[in-house]
Amino acid sequence: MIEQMVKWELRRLFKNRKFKIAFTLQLLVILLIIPLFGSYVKALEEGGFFNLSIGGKGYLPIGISSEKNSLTDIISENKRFDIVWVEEKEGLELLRNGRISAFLVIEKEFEDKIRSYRSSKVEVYINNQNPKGVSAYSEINTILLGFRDGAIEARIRDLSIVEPNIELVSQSPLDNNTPSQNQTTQEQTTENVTNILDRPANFEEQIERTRKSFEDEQGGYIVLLVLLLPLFLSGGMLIDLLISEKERRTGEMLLALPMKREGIFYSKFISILAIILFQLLFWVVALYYFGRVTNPLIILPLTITAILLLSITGLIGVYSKNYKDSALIVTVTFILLFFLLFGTSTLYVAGLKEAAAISPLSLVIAIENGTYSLKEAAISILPSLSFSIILIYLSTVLYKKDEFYFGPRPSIQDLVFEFAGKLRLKNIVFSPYLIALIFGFIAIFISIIFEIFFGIIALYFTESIFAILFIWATIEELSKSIGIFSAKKYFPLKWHEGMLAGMTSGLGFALLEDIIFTAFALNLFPDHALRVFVTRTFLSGGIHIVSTGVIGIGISERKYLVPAFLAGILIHFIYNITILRGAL
Amino acid sequence: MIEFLDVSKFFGDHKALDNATIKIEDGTTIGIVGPNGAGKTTLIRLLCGILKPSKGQIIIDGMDLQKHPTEIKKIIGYLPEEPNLYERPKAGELLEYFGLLYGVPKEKINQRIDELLTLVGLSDRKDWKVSSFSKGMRQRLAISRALIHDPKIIVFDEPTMGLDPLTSRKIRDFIKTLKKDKTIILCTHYMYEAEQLCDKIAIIDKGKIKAYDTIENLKKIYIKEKTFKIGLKNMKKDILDRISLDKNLKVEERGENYLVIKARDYEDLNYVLREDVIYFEDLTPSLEEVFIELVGSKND
Repeated sequence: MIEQMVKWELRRLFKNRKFKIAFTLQLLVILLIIPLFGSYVKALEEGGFFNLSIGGKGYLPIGISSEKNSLTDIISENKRFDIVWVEEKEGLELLRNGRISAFLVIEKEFEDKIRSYRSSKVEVYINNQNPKGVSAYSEINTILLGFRDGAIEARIRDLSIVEPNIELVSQSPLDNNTPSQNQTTQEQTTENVTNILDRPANFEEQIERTRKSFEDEQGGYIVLLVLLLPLFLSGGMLIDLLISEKERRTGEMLLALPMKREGIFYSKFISILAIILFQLLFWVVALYYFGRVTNPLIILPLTITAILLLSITGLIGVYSKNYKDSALIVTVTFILLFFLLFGTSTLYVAGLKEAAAISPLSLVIAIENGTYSLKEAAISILPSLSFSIILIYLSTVLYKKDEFYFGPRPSIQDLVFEFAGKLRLKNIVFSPYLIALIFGFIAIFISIIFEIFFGIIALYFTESIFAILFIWATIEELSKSIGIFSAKKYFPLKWHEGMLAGMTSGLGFALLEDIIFTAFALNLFPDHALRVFVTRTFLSGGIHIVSTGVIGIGISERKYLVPAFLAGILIHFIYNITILRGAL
Repeated sequence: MIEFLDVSKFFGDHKALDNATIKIEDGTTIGIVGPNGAGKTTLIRLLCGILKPSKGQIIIDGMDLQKHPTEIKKIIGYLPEEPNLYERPKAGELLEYFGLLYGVPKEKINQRIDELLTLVGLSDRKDWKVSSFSKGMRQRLAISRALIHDPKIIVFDEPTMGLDPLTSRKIRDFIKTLKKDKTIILCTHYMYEAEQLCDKIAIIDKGKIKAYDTIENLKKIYIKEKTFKIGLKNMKKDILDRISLDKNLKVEERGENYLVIKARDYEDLNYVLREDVIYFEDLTPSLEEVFIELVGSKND
């Protein structure tokens, strides 16, 4: 019967004109992307490095004080720059006023010196207060590095033993006896490009390492970029299949059919999976034909990623009441997933292979580079596959519930409550603690998402580790408190019961956090894994239990809500600082 | 035999059906009537296995619906309130899909589709897309879909709702033809439709089954007095005096040459009818009056 339904769904999809157009376009995108990425890879191969600065024509206004030469020609070709040709004094004034984001002073004899393999000097002034200055610096730096490498290659070709030297000088306009009101750049040292010390040495090393990694792994990375697209494009189709049945009420007839309800869900899941697999196959074959894929085995981790994506979108489709409802959830989930999948694969090519191996997309790169092992494959595939199976199971559980079709749809809290109710341990009095425990588990995932997001923002604006630690403590305590609020929704809690619920939520959080940390420790520093586990269990575990227990008192006795929250966060924050100092 | 044994259905805190107990014999046509939101659709969705009861048991042909949903669903044909048809396929394709899902053998499916489309008057529309169908045609196609597997039990939820009188009549006539060998459950709030088609009526209100019996019995139980209009050639004084003194009769209205009288039954009127009667009219309330008697006043 599922087979019949799959055939029907596929036929229905392929009879839909809009779908046919979208599907054909998706297939054809590959023809567009291959030359596009081909050029990109070529650019990488010719000495550039992966630049994440914001794009856009004329986005970065820069000033140049120089005669026209081969370097200015290359800079002029970069469409992101809007170049102003000025004298040195005028240029510094423009930089100070924020009219330009960077200013280059290239000495007059630059061309002659380069051509005769002598050292030459390029001074780069940037305004650190201007965010565009950082992007401009990154772009200019890329060009200068490429130019230097090109010059070296040319020199080597001429069999010269003397390495040409281009000096990159980053200076503040203040140093040029021009007082500034804008407090422009403070970079003052003059260093050889090959060892730029105007930024922290380890930072530069990191950039260099990343650049090399990208060059080494670029093939796999580009393939990954391309192949990730159809997966995301197809994700919405499953939601459409599930929600359209609800909105048009055609699903009512499916529920009347002599088949198990989960069979309906599976048939839709399989239909879309079949389409994704077809698309992936088409793209992989096309890329293989054009020489951008070396091992078609990459279809395996990509299929796992597709299943993961579909299991997430399937759950969203089952849970959502209508298109409107699903739109927001899907958008947020896809953005998070995109960053998660891309983040891990970027970590992989940047060298943090152990930490990134958990993503199936890292395996794509490894397969492409011929460096994969069975262990690596297992680490990449099993967590995603297990998570997908759990999500698919959850989807079928929800799909079997009448409320998800005929409403009113229960909230997540109601579902957890129902689950906790089923798990009652002899006496119903345990239910609030079970609810708190389950939400404690969930809280870790909520925390991770918000900690990454707000951590990056805090780092960008404050560069203070203390601010980050405080934000993290706040996020974790707020996440854990959801469990206590949920328990209180169903049971009137006295202060000591609130405290117990808080402690249980903290325990759930700490347990899962311990498992995650220990798993990472096992992967990265196996010798210290046991120490990590013990330390975390007794120190972090205790703190999570205590801090959330305090908050639990405040939630049950509303008059103490704010002080209890502040106290809980403070306990957590002080612990974070203590651990940091100990670690330092 | 269909048995509902203390069946309740909750949606969150809302009780859509409250301890419903009902037995439906094979081959009968049962009408489920009640005001909007009374729980009629919930009851028939439970019967079709679309909803699961929160409490109680539904036994069909000796099998528990909860334990044997697949087997039971095979013998039920369901026409929902809205036709709920896929728009893109052709009428024939749609029937073929549902036929196969209901287990109709592939070699017999085309013959069955042709039979049904002829029966509902859509034989020339087999290759038309559903999206091109009018509301009445959709309803008739949906009926064909409900009958594609020749079910033993047919459930109709408001089959004539929103249709023009001609199409409604066609559908009612069609249901009459099915009555011969099927158990039919008809959910409607058109009383005359229920009276016309059903052997028994279940009146449901606020999730509770208020009454379940034959129409005749319901009238007997819930309508205590009958009303008659009698036209008399001569309004003799002695007759009028006798009527006014008769405790079993009550004059509701008196015209120049007619009387509107309330009586328990015809027999009480014997002596009046022996007079020169020009005409006699039974104004006894219909099922609608029973319905209003049971649920009307509370819902006002």
